[in-house]
Amino acid sequence: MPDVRQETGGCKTEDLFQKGTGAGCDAVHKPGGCTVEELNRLGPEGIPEEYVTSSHLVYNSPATLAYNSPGAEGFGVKRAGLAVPGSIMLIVSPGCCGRNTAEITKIKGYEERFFYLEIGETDLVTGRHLKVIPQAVAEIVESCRVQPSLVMICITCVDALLGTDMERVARKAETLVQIPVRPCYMYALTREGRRPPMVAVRQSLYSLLPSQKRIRSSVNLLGFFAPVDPDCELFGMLRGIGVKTIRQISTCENIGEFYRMGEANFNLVLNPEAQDAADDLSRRLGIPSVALTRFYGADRIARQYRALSAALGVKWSCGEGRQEAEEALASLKRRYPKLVFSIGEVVNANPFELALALSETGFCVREIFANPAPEYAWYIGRLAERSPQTMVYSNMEPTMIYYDIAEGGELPYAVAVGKDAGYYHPDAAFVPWNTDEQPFGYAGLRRLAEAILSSCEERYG
Amino acid sequence: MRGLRKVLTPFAPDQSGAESVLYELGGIIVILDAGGCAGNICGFDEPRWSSRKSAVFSAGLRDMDAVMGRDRLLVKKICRCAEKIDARFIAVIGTPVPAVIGTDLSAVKRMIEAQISLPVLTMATDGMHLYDRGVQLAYMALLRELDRRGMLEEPGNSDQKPDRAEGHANQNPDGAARDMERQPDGAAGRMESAAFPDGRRTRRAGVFGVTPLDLPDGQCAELIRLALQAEGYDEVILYGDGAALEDYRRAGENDVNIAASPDGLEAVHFLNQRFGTPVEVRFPGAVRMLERAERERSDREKADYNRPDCERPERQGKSCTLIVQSQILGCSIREALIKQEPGQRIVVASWFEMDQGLMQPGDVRLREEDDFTHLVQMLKPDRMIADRVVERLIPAFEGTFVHLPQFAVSGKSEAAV
Repeated sequence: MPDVRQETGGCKTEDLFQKGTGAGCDAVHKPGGCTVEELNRLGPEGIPEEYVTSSHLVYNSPATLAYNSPGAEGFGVKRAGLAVPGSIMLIVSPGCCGRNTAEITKIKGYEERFFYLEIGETDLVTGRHLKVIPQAVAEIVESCRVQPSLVMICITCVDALLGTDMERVARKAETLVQIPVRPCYMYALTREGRRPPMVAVRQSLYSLLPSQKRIRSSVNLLGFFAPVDPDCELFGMLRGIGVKTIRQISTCENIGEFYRMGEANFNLVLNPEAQDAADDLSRRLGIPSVALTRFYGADRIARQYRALSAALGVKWSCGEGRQEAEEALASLKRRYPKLVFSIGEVVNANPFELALALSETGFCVREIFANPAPEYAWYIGRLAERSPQTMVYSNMEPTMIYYDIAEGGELPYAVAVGKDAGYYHPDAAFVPWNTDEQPFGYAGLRRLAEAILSSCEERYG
Repeated sequence: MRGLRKVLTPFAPDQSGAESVLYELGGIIVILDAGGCAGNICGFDEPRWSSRKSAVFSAGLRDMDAVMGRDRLLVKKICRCAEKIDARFIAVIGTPVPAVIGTDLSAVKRMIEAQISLPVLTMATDGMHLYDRGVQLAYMALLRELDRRGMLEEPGNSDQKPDRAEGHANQNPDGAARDMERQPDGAAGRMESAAFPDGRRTRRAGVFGVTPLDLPDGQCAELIRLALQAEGYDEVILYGDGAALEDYRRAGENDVNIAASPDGLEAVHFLNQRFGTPVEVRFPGAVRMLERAERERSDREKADYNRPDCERPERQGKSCTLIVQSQILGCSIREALIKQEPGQRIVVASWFEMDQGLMQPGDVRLREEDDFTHLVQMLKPDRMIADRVVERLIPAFEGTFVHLPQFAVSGKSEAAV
């Protein structure tokens, strides 16, 4: 590693304290990034360190907050842990871990569902907080106006390090209050591990499903904590093959209905973070699962549906959905043929697949704000053929502090898709594409095209 | 039950307090965490985060870093960042993870300093204490580091030093009245010390304990400035809200250093012992803040009184006011209220650190929700001045509630709305 003392030209520490390293040194004042072409050349094994978050400090850009904190935005562990109707959560942690929960309590339906047991230094040393948890659970259950259906005990990094057996504590609490009590783990430390928090919270929730008689006409959609867009063709296709009940955790009206998810004939896994939970259900209740990926490329959507029909041994038609989506896309292209896209990672999409889909439609993709992973190599390869100069930036890389947010200096017909891209391009037509309701399939593609059109009409007339 | 909260969300932790002091000083601020703490600090406790850039980073610790104690990797990440980012210093702020694994922050400091020339500050915050401890740690870490390097300006050494004996400042050679320094990001900067064309020296007041977490809301900093300017100070430095590193260097030269919150006390006493800088303990502009809060309450109540079902009962006997705020703000409000109406009973309570010397009989340090509800049951105050979030704890309270927000409690300055 270069010696910064040399880089700083032998500046005295006192001078640097007053003037900063930028005053006489070579501090870089531009964000680091690669083109898609360079990334493709380096291959999945050669992804530069700038894109590997464990190899550098993580910049707390306003664009990346949602990814810096498992409880910060959208469906983090805290909100996801309350997916079961009527449930409440006891956050057992140092005060700092529960601090931002006030933001979630502002969301309708979450107002009085969070409780806290703050732990201090002595608790950590002696583990005495573990002894009072069952009593705390009893006290909060008693204080609720309506008896909760489930108590989730959320624990954080400190208990991960202490190796706390929260399953055991939860069982003790369950005996005391006579309602289900389950742990969920907001372990930011394990985010890039084998069992990240958002995987673990799904496993914890679906572990509640009891064994029951399976019903052939019942199917679960696993993966999201908010409903899939009801317009999605998937619902029609499933009904077309005789499925009568399609359940999602977010649409269950009460815990009884949630428990009936255990009767499903099979699970469709729409988000890979739910795959471990689906595997658990397969082992425990014998419910098989099929994984589907969210695509925005019409051909990829079609291929996936063909593969699914083959796996299920059925025939279905979804040509109408495809036609509507392609018409919406064509209409956008006719109206605004020269759109230039910046795509962020805070979106209901894989940003590389989305970039490829837009590029296949003939739009220009200027940049992607996301970390390339080895599994995205296929998309990066195709993108390198179609749009080799597309820049890829890592939101979390320290030099992103120097990304030039030039207000008023936007390219004509610029479109920012995603909250992070919108932060970097405040003057572009902005498509957040990050709603709780989840887009999927052709309906997702159609809605995206409509959302872009609507934002462009608003921004460019 | 100790530590159990059924209504209030946790208050701002020490790590947020430390970051709050250092945010505008041009350093690389490393939150030694896995990501969640940094997200909480920037996304919730730092109101400047979305409007003013600062190099705040998460160390991005992973389970194996914690298990294996990979401090070398941490140091490597920090030094690599320092190669790319323009910075004046590096600050490492602790969180629960380093507290649990026993990270030796002094060793981390030495390891970094062995590789780069930038000064390194470390703050052993742990997320289990409240923000005021972090503010205090950061003030002291910064002042001690400047002092250790001989960078604190000795009164009398600077050309622009105010002459306390005469209360005047030297003539600025170019005769400029005041000079607004711009921050690199274009944000309005601090007022440079200077002299007036007639040769009169500027009088400069420094105020400690005024980070955004210390203040009720975003407008209070301006109220403090105006209050001190009305007292005759030409220049007002708010340490934690607009002050630059240079202002810390010159803190010993101020005509007075005021502690507006208990977390600023150690810093002002340090500067007093070191340079003899006069100390005051008060919250300038407290009366204005209360008047504003009263006005808002009155406007709201006017609307409420139009409703026939909303008549307040008249209370008899000696009035009692309960103020739940930062201690020094509470004491300053009490002093002003007693001047207006001598003999009334006013109790100051605080969720945060209270200085024993400033406490009057009956004043209370609150720790649990139950402490507060019991206090209200015992005092039966006619009037309460506190952040609105505590109202949910006392649904039966019939007195007058004056909402004076406390950012470190509710986390939102718009709570004033």
